Amino acid sequence: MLLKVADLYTEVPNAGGMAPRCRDYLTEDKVSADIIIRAELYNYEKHPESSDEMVAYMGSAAQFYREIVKFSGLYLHSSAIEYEGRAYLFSGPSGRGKSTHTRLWQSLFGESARVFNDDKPALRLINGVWQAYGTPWCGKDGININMKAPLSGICFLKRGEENSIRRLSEIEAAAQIISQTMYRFKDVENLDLMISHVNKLVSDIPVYELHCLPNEDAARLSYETMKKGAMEAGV
Amino acid sequence: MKIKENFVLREIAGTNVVLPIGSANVDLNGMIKLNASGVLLWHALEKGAEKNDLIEVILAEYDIDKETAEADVSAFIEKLARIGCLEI
Repeated sequence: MLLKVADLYTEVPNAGGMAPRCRDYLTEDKVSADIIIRAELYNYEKHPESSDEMVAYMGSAAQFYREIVKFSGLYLHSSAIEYEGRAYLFSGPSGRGKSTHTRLWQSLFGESARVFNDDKPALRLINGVWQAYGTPWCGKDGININMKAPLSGICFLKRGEENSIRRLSEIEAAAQIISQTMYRFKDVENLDLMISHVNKLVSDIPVYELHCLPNEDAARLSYETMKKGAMEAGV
Repeated sequence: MKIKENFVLREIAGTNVVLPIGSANVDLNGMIKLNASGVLLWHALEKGAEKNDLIEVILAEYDIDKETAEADVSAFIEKLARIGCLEI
């Protein structure tokens, strides 16, 4: 299947039930692929406990995200929401409440706040602007919208006794981002590309840490803080 | 002594950080950050160096006495050994 993902022509094999996830990304354009994903590289033997669908999902995501560094891109393990024409990413390890938080934004702001990816949205630096994209790698039951929006902020979530948010320093932000993105590269050149993207990302985009309860006040706090930070940063 | 092949030094957000390559995930909060003298010693160890070579490196760069240099080098070697990046 030839798709257009994150403005990159990507060949994704049908194997492992990827077709439904990829449907919204299919393209009729007659071009050669920027990125080619190979089903023969899916490592079924290494993950005997996982379903074929899971192996195909993880394998195709890994190949795509290893290649995207060559195109000024990376992913962030996060729930991505678009509101007022801007994208905000809520990140952290699994189970930290990323999707819960973006759903709270939806309950506060209504239909005009759209979650477009719940697992691995792509980020690419295009003409000096960080764009956040929906991708076929959207999580188990995740929402999947083939759209993009300019990135305004990133927030790492931690469970808390109360709602509090702070701006991270660039090195703190880089450490958190690296822990939630592709790190394992066969070539050190690609690792270096990823690091250069992260360095640029943390110097352009405000990054926060939010300790929170799963309530609407937390969503109000993250929105107001991140919106203000974005305006000050000009993103 | 030499730095093992699967550890590299990289500048991240202006800080020199030791990174393990080839592992699936990394928790940078546990990673060690090097200051200027640490970076000098790291580069010497990348090529392979013994303790006395490292002391020479410090003495050539900084105006301190030999005991202090020796103590700093010992502490540095211990820090690297603790994260398992040194081949003795």
